[in-house]
Amino acid sequence: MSDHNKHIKITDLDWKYGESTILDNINIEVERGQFYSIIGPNGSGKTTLLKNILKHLEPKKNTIFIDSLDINSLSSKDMAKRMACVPQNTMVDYEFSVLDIVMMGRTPHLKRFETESEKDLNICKEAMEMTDTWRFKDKLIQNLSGGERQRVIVARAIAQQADILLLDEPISHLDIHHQIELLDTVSYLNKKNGITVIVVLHDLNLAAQYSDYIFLLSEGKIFSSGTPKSVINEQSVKEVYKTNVCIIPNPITGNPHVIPISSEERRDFYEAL
Amino acid sequence: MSFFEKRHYFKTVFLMGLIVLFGIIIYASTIGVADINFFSSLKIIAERLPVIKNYIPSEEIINSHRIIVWNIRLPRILLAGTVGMGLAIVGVTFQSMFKNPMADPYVLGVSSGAALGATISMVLGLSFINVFAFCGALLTVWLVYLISRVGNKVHNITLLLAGIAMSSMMSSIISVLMIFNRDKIEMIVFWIMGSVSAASWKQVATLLPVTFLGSLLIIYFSRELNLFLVGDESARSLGVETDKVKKILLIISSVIIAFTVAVSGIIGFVGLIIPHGVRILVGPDHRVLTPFSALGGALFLIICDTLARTVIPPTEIPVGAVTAIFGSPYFIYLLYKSKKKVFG
Repeated sequence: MSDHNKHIKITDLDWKYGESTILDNINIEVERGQFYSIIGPNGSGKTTLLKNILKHLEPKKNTIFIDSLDINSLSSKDMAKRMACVPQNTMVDYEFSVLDIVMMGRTPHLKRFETESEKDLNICKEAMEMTDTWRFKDKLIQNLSGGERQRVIVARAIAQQADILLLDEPISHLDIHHQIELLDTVSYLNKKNGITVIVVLHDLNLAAQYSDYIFLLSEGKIFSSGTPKSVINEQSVKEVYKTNVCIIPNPITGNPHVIPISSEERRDFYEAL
Repeated sequence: MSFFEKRHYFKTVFLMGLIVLFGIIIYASTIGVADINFFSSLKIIAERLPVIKNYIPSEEIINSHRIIVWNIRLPRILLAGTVGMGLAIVGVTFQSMFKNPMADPYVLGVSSGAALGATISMVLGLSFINVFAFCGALLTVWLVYLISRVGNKVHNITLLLAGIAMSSMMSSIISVLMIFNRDKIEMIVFWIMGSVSAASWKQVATLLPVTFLGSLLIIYFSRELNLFLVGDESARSLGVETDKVKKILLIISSVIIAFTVAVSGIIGFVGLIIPHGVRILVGPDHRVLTPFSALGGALFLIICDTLARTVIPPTEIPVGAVTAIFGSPYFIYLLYKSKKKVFG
């Protein structure tokens, strides 16, 4: 079986909301233990793709496979054991303590009436120390800042001990320190524990810096995929994002670094007004 | 503090709560026009229980007291407790399922459905008021569910709106029926106000098993109720079959409430406020919140109903009025205190 290393495989995935096509014939193979980014303009279908993989939407039979199993044949619990998710919106309006929230990550591993054991507590503690959230374990989740809350949700995903981690724009509300900290944590999990990571990102430079492979989505199709160097270039960015950019090699990693160029046409347009 | 660190403490408190509940039941059975003391009341109840009855000397109890306690007061107390328990536990369930703190057990139109059923049976002069109310309640929820179902999914907001729309429609039908049947207005209004004064052992025997079993089933889903609060999608990625669980909870809740409304009419406040009050006291974890709400609802309604029948004898105050008069200040106090804790 050459498919053994294929952690996630998507074949001919289409998705429509009513009449409008959001995803159009997506074919993707994700290898075990690699770091993937999904990039693309707003409305290109990144989140919809992620939701299909998570089975939050209902993909057709035999389109998405995890460990060579059709996700439609897996129960939510089985899915949760294989795949953890950090959603875009992490607001919680109820007075759970931070530790309570992280403990929820243990749900798929517990039997119906089983209560969390010391072992579960230790797993959560480790996850929380990794994300620097253990020090406010007794605080209420609703009293945390956006960045702190994000890290708590990442800790919950780590405590879930799945070997696929999906993150939907996890850093869009964070300052640069917390952005790097979060991506470093995820990258560490990827390298050390061999967890497969798929992250939706808006920042092309961070995507290029952290990913082994990148999927570039445009209008519901995979525009191109491959290593950062092969996906991110001046032509592809211009075509997909309708933006002129200058790309230089990142002096530290050698990966492409994108510098957007202000549009002259638009400047002329505004001056003509 | 997290649930993990507090759970042993909660077990003890819950057991103490059960003892208090038992004490209140006995004490409530002593209050009323006939003066019966705590121990004779305890004896009257104990001598009916299997095994224990063999150890109870029964000579010194007056026979009329036996009838008052066993046939009149006790069924009423137990019915009040069961109604309170059912309302509170369904309130908790709906508030979590709909992620809406305003949700109460009647939010899906159960109450007006039951009231319409009861009204129809009264207008037609039929004697099975409870049966009609029960059918009205279940039919309404079923309709509301059908309206808001899209494919296999049920959308929370549509469900709530359909419930509210259905309620208004049924209430207006009731009004019209009342205008055309002026002689029955008083009867209908009294039914709608809600009361457990007509309690009998037969009613207790139907409602108690349903509510108790339903509550156990809901407690069985406590972990899922927790996860609903962090969002449906998060719940799903943590391994909850959200649509399936929601449907099951909807069915259990509707059955509990249909049975409850059929015997007690519409008693407001309990299902909305008890869950919030208990949440402020013990926190939002449903593994604690659901059993404590059930206990709290039972205690609260027993106390309110005892007040309703004893404050100005022989007149009875509608128990729904008592729940609001005595419950609101306490709830406002809790709200005020918890606000100070968070912001002060």
